[in-house]
Amino acid sequence: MRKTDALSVITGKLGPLVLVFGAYLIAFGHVSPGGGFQGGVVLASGVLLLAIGRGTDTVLALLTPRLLARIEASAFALLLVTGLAGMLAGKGFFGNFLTAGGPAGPVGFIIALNVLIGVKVGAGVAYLCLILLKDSDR
Amino acid sequence: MIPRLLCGAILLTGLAGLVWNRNLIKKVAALSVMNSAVILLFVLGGSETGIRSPILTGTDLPVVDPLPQALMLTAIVVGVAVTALALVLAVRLHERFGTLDSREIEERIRDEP
Amino acid sequence: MSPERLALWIALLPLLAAALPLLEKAFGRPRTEAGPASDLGALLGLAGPLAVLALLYPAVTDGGIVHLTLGEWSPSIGIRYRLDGPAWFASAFTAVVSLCAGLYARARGGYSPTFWFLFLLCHWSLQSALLAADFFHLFVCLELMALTSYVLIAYKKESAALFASFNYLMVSTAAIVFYLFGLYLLYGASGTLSIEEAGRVLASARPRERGLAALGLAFLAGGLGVRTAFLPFHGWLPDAHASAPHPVSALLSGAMIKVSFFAQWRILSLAEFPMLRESFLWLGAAGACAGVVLALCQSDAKRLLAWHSVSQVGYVLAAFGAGSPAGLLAAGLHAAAHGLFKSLLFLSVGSAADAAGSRNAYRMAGAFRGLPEAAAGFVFGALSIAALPPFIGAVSKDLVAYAAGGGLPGALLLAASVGTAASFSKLGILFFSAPEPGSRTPALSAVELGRLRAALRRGALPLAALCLGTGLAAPALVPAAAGLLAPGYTAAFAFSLSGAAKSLGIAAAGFAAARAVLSPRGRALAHRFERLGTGSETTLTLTLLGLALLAALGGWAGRGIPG
Repeated sequence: MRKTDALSVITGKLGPLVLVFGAYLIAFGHVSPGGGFQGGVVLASGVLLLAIGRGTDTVLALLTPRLLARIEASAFALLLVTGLAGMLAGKGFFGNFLTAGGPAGPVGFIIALNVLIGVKVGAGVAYLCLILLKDSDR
Repeated sequence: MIPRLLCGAILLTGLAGLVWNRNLIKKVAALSVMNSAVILLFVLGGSETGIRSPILTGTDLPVVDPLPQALMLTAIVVGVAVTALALVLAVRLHERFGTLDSREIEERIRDEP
Repeated sequence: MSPERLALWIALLPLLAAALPLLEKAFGRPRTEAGPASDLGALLGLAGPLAVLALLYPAVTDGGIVHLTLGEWSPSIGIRYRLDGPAWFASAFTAVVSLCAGLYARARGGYSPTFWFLFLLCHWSLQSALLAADFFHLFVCLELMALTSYVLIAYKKESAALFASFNYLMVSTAAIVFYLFGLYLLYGASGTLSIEEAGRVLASARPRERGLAALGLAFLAGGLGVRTAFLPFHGWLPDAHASAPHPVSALLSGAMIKVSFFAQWRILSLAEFPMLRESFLWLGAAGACAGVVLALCQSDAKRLLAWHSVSQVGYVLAAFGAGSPAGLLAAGLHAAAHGLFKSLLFLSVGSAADAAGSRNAYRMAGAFRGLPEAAAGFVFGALSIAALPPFIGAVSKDLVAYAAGGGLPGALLLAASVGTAASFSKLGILFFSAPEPGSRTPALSAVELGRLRAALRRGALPLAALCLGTGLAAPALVPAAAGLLAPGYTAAFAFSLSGAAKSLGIAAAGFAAARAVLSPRGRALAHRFERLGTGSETTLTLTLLGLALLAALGGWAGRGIPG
């Protein structure tokens, strides 16, 4: 992809904003439109914007494929562990065991799941897009 | 009624695109359109009981039916995964055969020993 | 542990086990073989469910049902699992087929942790789909089954496999869109996504609702039909199952197409729409015949086996469409029997093709030289599929013929039996004939041949033993199966001389037909029709026609139901 100044500046300024938006979607997914998957995909698109603007190699030097694969695998394993934790607490697989409530009620479990899913999806989709983008640079 | 018919029309458009296009990438796009049509249909159906977001606040306001929305979120996720996989397959096929035309690829595979 | 808690582990073990190869791939050093974590995962995920199923048998026999809700949420909003007789039965043979295919893959070598992750995830989705009691969860499992199978088919990255996977993806996703559309109609009519509750609501609903529900069920049947690959939804199967790696072909043909059939079973047992069921009888019989005719035209050995999968699924469907308890028993039993002998055949014939260097049956003369395990597997599998006693195929086909009754469907099934015997006689003649001297250069080194034989010993021979063993134990097995599949139906099976004579007669007719097909005129004719019924455009067109047909039947049935 031809690097122009406009592309570089715009995506450089917009990329971090998109990343923050993605984090917001994940964190507030239980009370407003959003959630784990949605936030994760937005995170990945933020990474993709940065890759388009600053060059795929720059981003890949920071987020190496190895790191992304590790984040993804760990998030999957942690998700399963969360499900099993519910089982150990006597509430069945993926049962809600974090029932201590806050001002909005017992939402700890949902937030935890959202974060894990968001991280996993973000890492996975970012990995996929970066690899495809890198292939097209050849 | 009209919105549902429109969704049906989008579904049929996607279907027609899937069957008549020979370009692999266009087929993937047509699949995506079909998916979107069904998702719209479900969300429309779910909004019959009300249009507020399904977060119960103690007052008895009519909320949207959350079940179709949950199902559709899942369908969107699956659609993303399938689209990604289809695109990767198309890229690999293009690498092998140099073309994205499904009929040509089919003939070349047939001619392989 | 109570049956409810135990039943969860049938599906949970493969899911947890799938995390191990993924972690190994991400954190371990790059591998082309499975490492210790993947081995542990495979053992846990493939053998574990069998142990759990064995413990749960008493809870499901004779009409027992185990209900459980995930996460101990209330049953009206949680994901519900339902383990009943047919689900247990299907779970058991799915686990057996997966285990044997997995053993073959592990011993064969060349399958990295990524493969094991996908394989275990596929197994999880199969087991979970069989337990699903609501359409939502069924949808998720169906899609996961499909996704993992697309990648598994294309695992070795051969061009033919990539394209076959792509076509399969296109047709399958279009089908799922129609599944969702049917679900939309059903949800609109019944207001619930749970299968049992929908049945209950629809039994006492107004005619308009029942009409919508009938249409919805027809679309659901169409969507599931593409996954089960009966006529006219079969187009993707020959290419996909032929070009996949052998353990994947075995899993797909042996287990995956049956799981969507069992889902169909569960759905149709909730609401009786006789017209839909009858259409299955005819589509099944026609598919059985058409599948066999096209199988005879094939020169690619694995493609021939894949066409036979279409045909045998037709048998299963025809028995199911008969509607009687005998039909249910026959359908379930034949699905299991096919799972056993088809996976056996795929592993054996595939290994022979690897040793001979080509999948073209005409170039595989003497393919079993040096591979006695593959020869044994092929013979056992061929005798089973051709329904010769005392193999299990004879038992199940006998039951199917009994359930389907006489008339045109019965005649079509008989013709299909002759054709089946013909195809396998053709393969047998070609495989066991002597190769031209000097024409065969071994395609595999001695080391690879050794691994192939070890793989066959671990994966194929157990299946062969089961084909024979279950057949010999049929007088005890059939009543037990009836207790699971059609509780309340007393079934008895005994080997009879007249049955054996009939099977031998069919086999002889088949052998004669095979000689005709192998003649030069026969070969030329076969070559003309080899690619009929497959190919991306044909597949899509046939699928859409099939969906239109089912929708028409559903709409007609819906209108005709009395209020």
